[in-house]
Amino acid sequence: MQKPSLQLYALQLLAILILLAITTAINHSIFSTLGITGVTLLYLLVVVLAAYFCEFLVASLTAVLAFLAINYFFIEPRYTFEVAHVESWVSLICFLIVSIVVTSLVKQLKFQTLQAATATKHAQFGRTLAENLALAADVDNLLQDTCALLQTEFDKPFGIVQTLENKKYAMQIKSGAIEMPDSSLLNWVLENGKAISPYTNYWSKSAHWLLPFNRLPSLDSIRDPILVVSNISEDDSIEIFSAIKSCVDQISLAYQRLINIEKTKQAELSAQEEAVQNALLASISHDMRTPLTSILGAATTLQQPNLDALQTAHLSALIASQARYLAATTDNILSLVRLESSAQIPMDWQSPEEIIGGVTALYKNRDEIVNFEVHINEPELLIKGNASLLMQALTNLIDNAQKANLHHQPIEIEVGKTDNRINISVNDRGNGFSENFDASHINKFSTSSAKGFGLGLSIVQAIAKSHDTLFTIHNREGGGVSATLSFHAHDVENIDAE
Amino acid sequence: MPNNKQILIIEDDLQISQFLQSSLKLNAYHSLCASTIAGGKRLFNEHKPVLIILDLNLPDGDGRDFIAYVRASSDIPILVLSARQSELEKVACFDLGADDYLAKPFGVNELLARVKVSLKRTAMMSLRDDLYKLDDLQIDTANNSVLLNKKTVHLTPIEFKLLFTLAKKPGKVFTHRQLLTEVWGAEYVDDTHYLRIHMGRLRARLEKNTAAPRYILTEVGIGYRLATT
Repeated sequence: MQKPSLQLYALQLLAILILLAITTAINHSIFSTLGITGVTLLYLLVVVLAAYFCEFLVASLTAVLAFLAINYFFIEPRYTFEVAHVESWVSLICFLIVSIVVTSLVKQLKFQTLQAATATKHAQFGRTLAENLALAADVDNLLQDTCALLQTEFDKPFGIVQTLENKKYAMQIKSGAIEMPDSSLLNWVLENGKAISPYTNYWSKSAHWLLPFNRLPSLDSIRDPILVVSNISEDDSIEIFSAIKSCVDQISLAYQRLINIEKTKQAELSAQEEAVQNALLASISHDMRTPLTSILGAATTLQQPNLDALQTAHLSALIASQARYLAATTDNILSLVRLESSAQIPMDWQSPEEIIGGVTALYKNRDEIVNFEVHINEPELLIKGNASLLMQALTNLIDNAQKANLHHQPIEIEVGKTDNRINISVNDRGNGFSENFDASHINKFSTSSAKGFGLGLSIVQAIAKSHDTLFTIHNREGGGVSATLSFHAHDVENIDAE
Repeated sequence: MPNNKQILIIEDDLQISQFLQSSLKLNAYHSLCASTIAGGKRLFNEHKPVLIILDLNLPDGDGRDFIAYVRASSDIPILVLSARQSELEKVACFDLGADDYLAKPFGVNELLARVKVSLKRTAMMSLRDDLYKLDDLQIDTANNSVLLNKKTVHLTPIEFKLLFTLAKKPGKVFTHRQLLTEVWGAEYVDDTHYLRIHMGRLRARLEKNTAAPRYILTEVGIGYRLATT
């Protein structure tokens, strides 16, 4: 609680003197009507008002002044401080006692009211802080929100010092104008796990209060944050310091909880990555042996004498086909690795027609006979994307369609626009997927085919995700599958022919 | 073997270099081999080959430096072979002046087809570099005329500029950046949507099947080139 200033005392005293003078004047003018009892009650009213509105000292002085005023002006013999009758003494002393008792009671009432209000405010702050700590989902938000909350509650600037990787300190999270404390102070707090303030007897002249999150001496590798409080004045009581310290303990618990959650997540992620890598290595080592065996077998057969031209051509074609299969698989694995490791994929305006042209040319260059039917339902459509990845996605869908296309029906590639989306579909007339198939549950390295790594659809899905694009697969009426990449249709400014 | 069919191979992998030599020899080309940039420069200066097949990863540096070196004095076709798949790498090679890019692994037939196209372009340029003729399409840059099935094709000024830029070097890949700079100006290098739309319109006027074009070929993610065969 703040101490009242001398100026406030002087003002209150002046107001009371004026009030007493007015009361005395009124009493004096109508004394004959009021009598001593009425006069005494009016003075008592002044004492009660003083007790309610003024400081205790001023209120007590009012009681004494009122006592003297009654004695001097209204008790016989009047205009002296002498008292003629015993009953007058009794009245005067009773008045003084009642005045002092009332003043004391009002003082106590005021104090209890203030305490109740403070307790309510603290309880409300405690509730808000607890909610904040419980709901915080990440460390930065936790620190930022609690810093702001502390500033509102204690009306002081707060900051949180964290240790960077190079062991330097930074105070990126702060609320209000606050300067970075001296690094020697911060070092001492971390090394000892103790707070700095006048109430701890450590560095009592410091311009800041420093409270460590961790009350134990920090190891070099683990350096928890430090709460910094600024604008410290002599009036700041130990209660405020203790309240802030208790807040730091709560914040520290929530902080440790979030750090532990993050560590657990990181560990789970690492375990998952390791599992995927193991699965990838196992798949590669197992499935690559098949085409390599074919290549080795065909190549060693070619070294045999007396092979006729037909056999030679057949074996050469086998080697070429298996090598292409290995190359395509390597591309798929590389794409997947790139997609999962790349933070930003370069995107540009692409024409679906050109991408499809590129894919059909690719099959032509590979000497693979694929019967395509391309339907571009709307010209001049542009999508935002990465050409290589989109080609990879379409190639994987076409490869799948081709494998399923047992009746050698044409593979349809269709481009169209519906509502606000541009759709590229690859449609086949194969056997289709089972009714339970769900495109969102495609797993890496899982395949329905005896040959292959099961990467094809996973890559399409990853490419779709990187392009913020919908990838859907559904069975077609009349048999077969329709796999669609659905892109958001961006606004392209109108381009004149000139 | 006539000297004008000498092809310089710069490749540090012995197996690849050997099968390239064998394949070229089977197709009546004479080849010179170097495994370093320094060796490549020496053979280039001494023998003046008609085409260069260049690997990018070489023991004494990046093949792209060799492209810049050759382009300072010669316009001969450069065919890049590389295991690098990134579009940015490819575009960088084309911007430096490479004529074609073949990603490893590749089939010999595809390589030979690309060699043939590059040499044909050089031959066409030496005959008359202002006239392009393939199947039913004839582009005469000297007379500003484009004929398809012997009928004049009416093009907008931008379509003319685009087509004539490609026709300057048929078979050579022009990157998006090169075309945007040439046709619209250097300040438009990032406006690839202009290029896509106008190229789509140009194809609609010239091609029978725009999804499988005959004349204006797309190098996906890189640029465009005019077909030569």
